[in-house]
Amino acid sequence: MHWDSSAYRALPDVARIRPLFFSVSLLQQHQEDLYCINKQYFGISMQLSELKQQGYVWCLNESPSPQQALSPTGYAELDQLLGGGWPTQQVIELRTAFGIGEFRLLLPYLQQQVSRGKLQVYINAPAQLHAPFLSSQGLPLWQQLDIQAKDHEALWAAEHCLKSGCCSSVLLWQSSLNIARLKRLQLAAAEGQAELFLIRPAGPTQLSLPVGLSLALFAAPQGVEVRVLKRRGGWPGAQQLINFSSRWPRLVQPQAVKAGAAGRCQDPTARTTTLTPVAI
Amino acid sequence: MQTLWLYLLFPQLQLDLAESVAAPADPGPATSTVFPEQPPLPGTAASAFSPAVLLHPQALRVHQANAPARALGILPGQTLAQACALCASLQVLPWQPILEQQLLHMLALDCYQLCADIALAPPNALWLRLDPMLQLYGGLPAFLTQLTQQLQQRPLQYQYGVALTAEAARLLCLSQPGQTVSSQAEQQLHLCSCPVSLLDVAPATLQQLQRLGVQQLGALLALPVAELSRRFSKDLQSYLQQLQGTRPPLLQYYRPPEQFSARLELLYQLEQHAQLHKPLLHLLRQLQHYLQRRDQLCYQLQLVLTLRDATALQLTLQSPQAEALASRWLVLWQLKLEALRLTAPVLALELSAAQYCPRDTDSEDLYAGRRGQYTPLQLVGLLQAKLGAARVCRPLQLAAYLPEAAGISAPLQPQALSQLRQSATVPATPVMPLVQQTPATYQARTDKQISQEAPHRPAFLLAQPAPLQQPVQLLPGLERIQSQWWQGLSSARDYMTAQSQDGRWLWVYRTEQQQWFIHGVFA
Repeated sequence: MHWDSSAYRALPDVARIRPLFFSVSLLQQHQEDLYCINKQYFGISMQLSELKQQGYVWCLNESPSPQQALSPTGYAELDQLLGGGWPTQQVIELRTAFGIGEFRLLLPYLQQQVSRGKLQVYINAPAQLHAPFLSSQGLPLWQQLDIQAKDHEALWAAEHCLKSGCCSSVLLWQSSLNIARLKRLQLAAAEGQAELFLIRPAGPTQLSLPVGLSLALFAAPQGVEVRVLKRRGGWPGAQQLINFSSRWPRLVQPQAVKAGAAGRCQDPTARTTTLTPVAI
Repeated sequence: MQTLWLYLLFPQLQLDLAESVAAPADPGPATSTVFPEQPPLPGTAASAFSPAVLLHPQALRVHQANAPARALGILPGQTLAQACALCASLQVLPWQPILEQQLLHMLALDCYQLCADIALAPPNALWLRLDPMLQLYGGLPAFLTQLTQQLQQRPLQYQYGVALTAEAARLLCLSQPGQTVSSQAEQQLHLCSCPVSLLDVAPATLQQLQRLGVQQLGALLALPVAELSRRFSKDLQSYLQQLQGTRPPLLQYYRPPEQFSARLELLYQLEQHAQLHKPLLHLLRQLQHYLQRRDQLCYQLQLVLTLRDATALQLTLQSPQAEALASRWLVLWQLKLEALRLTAPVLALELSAAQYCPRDTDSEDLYAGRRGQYTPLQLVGLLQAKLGAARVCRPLQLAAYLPEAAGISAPLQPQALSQLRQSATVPATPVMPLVQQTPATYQARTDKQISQEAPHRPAFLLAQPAPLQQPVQLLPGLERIQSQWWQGLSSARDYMTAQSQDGRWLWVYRTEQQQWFIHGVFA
């Protein structure tokens, strides 16, 4: 094994361990830990090289593991940030407030999945999906399924939808989730070749889950600010502004439009108005 | 044309079959007896080892006795006291004519696989008309082999007789079981030795014949017809004509039921829904058998649970995907029964099916490598069974002017499901995959489409507009929606896009009274 010059991290199953940056000597010490983790989480004893081959352990000074299948997100900046696109057949966590553009971030991907002819399931959406919007975005309504369920039933539904093999992607709005449940969802996603977008409210106290990719979204005047919280096969912490001004000219602050995309159908004299609440 | 009839008699119909049909009710979940895939072979049934009798409920006399009981000297017609005196450990069951009739129908359905013309001969026999079928089977021996194979699938005693007329077949079956005749002369020969007491005529006529000293059918047939008609009623005349084939038999042919319906009386009272699975599986297997014979599938099942001291509970289960397999239906029923609270113990189950459709094979993409478990319709059925039909919705776009009416989320209805089914089979319109385009061209295309065709609408609409109670920044662009001016309830709403302080994109409107509401979220 030629791992002297590399730093190793085991993800995602040991995500509760804070990111560790091993020096060479420290890593030698932690080799035993890795095997313990290995035994505990995989139930079988594998050599480090095997773990590395399967993408559970990786070298951070190398490029991301090529085994991971990626599909483009539709935003060049995001593709660049994620090294090619959304990881497929995985659970992808989005930590976001409701309404800052998180659905528009997923929309190109959902549009792309339409051609697979499979269902797209929305479980416990915070408000009712507006059908004219979906059809105007080229999402056929017969492929959309809107499910409202209680907490544990929502997880049950998500698992079965993922497992069914007839869903391309599942969007689950769920705040509380434990690791065992997540593991089930992950296996189901792999079995049914579907992606689960787990949309959770942003908050510092939330339990960090062993997901394949975790992103935090923040509102920005010209789009959405995306920060990688956790990523299999790559460094966390990268941050990137996803610019919506060309795709969604009416949903960005106007000054950005003037600077960014010239010739849009925006009134250049238009000014934003600040409105303070009125007692009703 | 010469006809050929087979009379099939089941002397111990209820005694043989009742146990194997009503067996699978487990008294509790602790006893994990696996219900056998096939009914036990004849001779291995439990009743074959211990003496058992059926008691006529009114006369209180033995109606049927199984082989061990008969070996002990218990014969039909004895009183209960006599029978009990002969065997102390005698198992006594009530004779249920209704159950026996159900069993007979079940056997008729079995035989319908082999023979088209079947007539019921209640309480415990069947007539099969063979002459139209023999060409298919290539002769009587081949047919009888098939019939024996079919009947041996159940732990059942039977005897038969084959003759040229229905009545003659009955007499041969009763007097000389297993006898087959193929010509008029042969039939005449065998009938001559039949005792007169077996004739299906009024008891008074039988008595009259015995007083005349006519003991055997041969003697009766030898009498001149003119003399007989002078001394006896017309019924005997027509009976003898039917027997000899000069008059066609008056039989009602059996027709298999159009609808599946099966009832299972439980041997124990069941109080928990988990205990219902085994008996239910038994009924579902019958359904599967029924549907597979017809090459059909069914959409809807109805289960009636008969409760002790309470009104029967009626459950309906709808599956968007038509199913025949018992295992598939059982999964749905398990989910449905989980939500059920039994107020009283269950005594019996009755399963009936409605909404059939012919089975058409799915056309799957051979190269896509199907890996999942379900089709979309099966998934919807599963979700509906678990969550309730009202919770599984699909966004619907309607031709309405108001935004809240234009897009609704409606539970999946059967007609909507048929749409799903159609759209699922029609290949999706080819959309150029995103991968092959640069992001710029893709954006340009969608951008143009969206800005030209669709009005500016949010992705999510609140169920009720919420009063705006936070400072927001309004963006340029205003859309006035005048609501219901044609109904006299006119009110204008000025819709605008707004961003709240914490960066949420809201779709807000102002009423004519200058009140502000949030109606949607762009997300």
